Amino acid sequence: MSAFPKRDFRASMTWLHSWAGIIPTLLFFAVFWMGTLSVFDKEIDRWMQPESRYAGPPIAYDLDASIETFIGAQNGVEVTSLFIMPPKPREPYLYFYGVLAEEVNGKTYSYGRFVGESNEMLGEPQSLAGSGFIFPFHFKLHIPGNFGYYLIGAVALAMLVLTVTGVIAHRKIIADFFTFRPTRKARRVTLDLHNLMGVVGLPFYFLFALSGLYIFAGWFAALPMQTVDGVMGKSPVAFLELADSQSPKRRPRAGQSIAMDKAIMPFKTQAEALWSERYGAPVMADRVRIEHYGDANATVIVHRVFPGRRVTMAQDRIDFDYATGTVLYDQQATPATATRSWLEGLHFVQFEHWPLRWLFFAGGAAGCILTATGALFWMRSREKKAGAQPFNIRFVHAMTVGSVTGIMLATGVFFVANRFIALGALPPGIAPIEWEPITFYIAWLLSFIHAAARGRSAWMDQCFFIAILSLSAAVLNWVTTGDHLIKTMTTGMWSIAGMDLLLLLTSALSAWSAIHLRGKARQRPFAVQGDDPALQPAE
Amino acid sequence: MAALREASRAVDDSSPDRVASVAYYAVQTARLVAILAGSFYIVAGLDILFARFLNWLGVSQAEAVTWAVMLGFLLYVGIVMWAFAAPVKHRPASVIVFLARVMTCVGIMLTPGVIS
Amino acid sequence: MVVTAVFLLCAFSCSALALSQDRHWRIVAAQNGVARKDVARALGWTLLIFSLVFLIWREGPSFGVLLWGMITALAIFATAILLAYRPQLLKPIAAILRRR
Repeated sequence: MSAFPKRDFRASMTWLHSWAGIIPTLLFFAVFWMGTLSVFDKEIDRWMQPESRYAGPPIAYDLDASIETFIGAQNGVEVTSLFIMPPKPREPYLYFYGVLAEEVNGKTYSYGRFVGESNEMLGEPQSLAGSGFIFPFHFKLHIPGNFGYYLIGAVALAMLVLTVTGVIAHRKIIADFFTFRPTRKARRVTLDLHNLMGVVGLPFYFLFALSGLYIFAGWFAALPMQTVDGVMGKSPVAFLELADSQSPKRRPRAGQSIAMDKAIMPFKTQAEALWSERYGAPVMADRVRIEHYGDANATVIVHRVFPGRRVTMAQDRIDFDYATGTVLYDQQATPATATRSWLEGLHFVQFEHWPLRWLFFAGGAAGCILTATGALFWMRSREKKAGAQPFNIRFVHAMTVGSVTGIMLATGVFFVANRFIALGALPPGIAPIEWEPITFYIAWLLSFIHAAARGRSAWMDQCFFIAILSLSAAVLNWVTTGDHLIKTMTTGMWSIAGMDLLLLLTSALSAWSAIHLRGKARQRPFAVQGDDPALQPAE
Repeated sequence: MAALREASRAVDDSSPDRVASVAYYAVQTARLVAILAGSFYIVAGLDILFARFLNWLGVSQAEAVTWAVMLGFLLYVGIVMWAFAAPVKHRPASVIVFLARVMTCVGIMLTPGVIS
Repeated sequence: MVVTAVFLLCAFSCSALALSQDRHWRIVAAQNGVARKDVARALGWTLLIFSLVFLIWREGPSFGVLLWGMITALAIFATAILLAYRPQLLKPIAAILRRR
């Protein structure tokens, strides 16, 4: 290593930084953008699923009566297992997911939700919303099969590399620590902003890339094994299985039916009492599963996954035998899994700490700016040298516009499309659940075409579209549900109020950007900026 | 073929050519992907060996695998940086792809030691 | 509330650290003497470490460390923006750090 001069090392790290950065730019921004929105996934759910909105004190619920209602609503079809989530502050409803023994209307599962203190069961939500579309988008891009996971895994690995090489490539990072010079040339301002965002969020980006990788570590580590398996003909080894080998294997069905007349609630209470004693503080279970419902081997599994005011995700799980009530299995975290759970918990952002949630949201937004300015700087450096735009610069330009403002625009369309479900004004032949993703992908695709056609004005146009879309989303929410800002803020529906306020803020910011860009375009339309010999490709 | 050779020669120049051909972009991408993916395979192989070593030291299997995977990702960054810092005549990409094959094969052969 | 207070404290420390660099000192208080760089650095780092310790004590180690990292990041950003657009707002801090 020491044989190479220091300058060469930095040059090669600069090379690595710019190529590992520029090739997956589209994916970087998509992951940052959707991940940032996922911080408020449950709030987006409330906004997009108006039937689940509820403002009020914590809910008293009757678990066993609700189970009865849910089973009764299946029209005699046998339910083989049940997954139940009790209400939480950010999810004010009792949630049911049942696996059915036979197919009903093409589905082998059934949903049920009891909002507030209502005993009336709501069915499957009509919108995928935050936790059904935006959240999964940021780790698998909704690509069928496993490919999306692997692609995002590669992106996360590249991000790890970028955070380290960025410090080496941008050599004046310490001297320029608090430096931002908005009056300089556009290229210099872009680089300043890129460096500032990089410095500010460095630990954040590193931790989130790393923890994101740990969440799917089993999948990523299993990939090479499976590929080699194809060559060597040995059975693949899934690391995930190895790491989780402490979990018990699923009990088989006994094949004998029993009456499910014993209440489920006492199991949950017993598990909570056990944990509360173990940890010396009150503990709430947040998941209850019933495996083999109606079978002699029925098992009640009580989980605690997100432990409220704590970062580390809990590993607590107690399995009960339904018939006898004996404890079959009691899981506690081990040191390595505890470290991993801390990283996972910090990535999932499900803890009850609003200031930190907002700060993570800001960190994600900083990541969006980091990615966008990185791509912009790369492009501006080349635009300047190239003079007339050759094909590849045009291509990268269209890709950058589409992946930055394009996905924001598509998200705006996604929100506006959602309000059309409430109006009942969908084109014929499209199910409500498919409608929003279809509009999202069409809008995103169109944004690339628009960017390719419009050249540099595309930025201005798309900012303008975003402003209109987010304003109309907020207004449409008022029109279709009657939950306007004054009402939501006075009744304490902060999830809805926050969403509307952020939409209005986005609208104002993008309108400002559009006007600003328009002024710039008038000043020097498509001018090639003057050559500044002091500017190196990356400083 | 000549264009490809021309493009791969551009790889030797570690400062990115600002108005390069499309072939140059393609070769850069291929090189990047080869090193990113190859390094990952090396890490996966090392993970198994490290897990096996920890397990041999008396760490429980689930713990050993978790620690190995967690350390592996950090190691990954180092391997990629080495691959890019090494002089071009060593052709680190091909070395890495070769190493990756060896490591994963060795890893697979020794894996039963982790499982049992 | 706690977060806002710690943010102000961190922003103050970051401003002090920024003013210990010649470039920023010249923008804020060029005609008014020379900075006591050692004092600025010591003050900045002490207050940053104090805020970390305070957050860990108040919010527990996990939340404390994460909050501190994010609040400091925000403070660095705020300092850079202030230096860029409203450097005169940092004059009171520069007055403390001036060599007399």
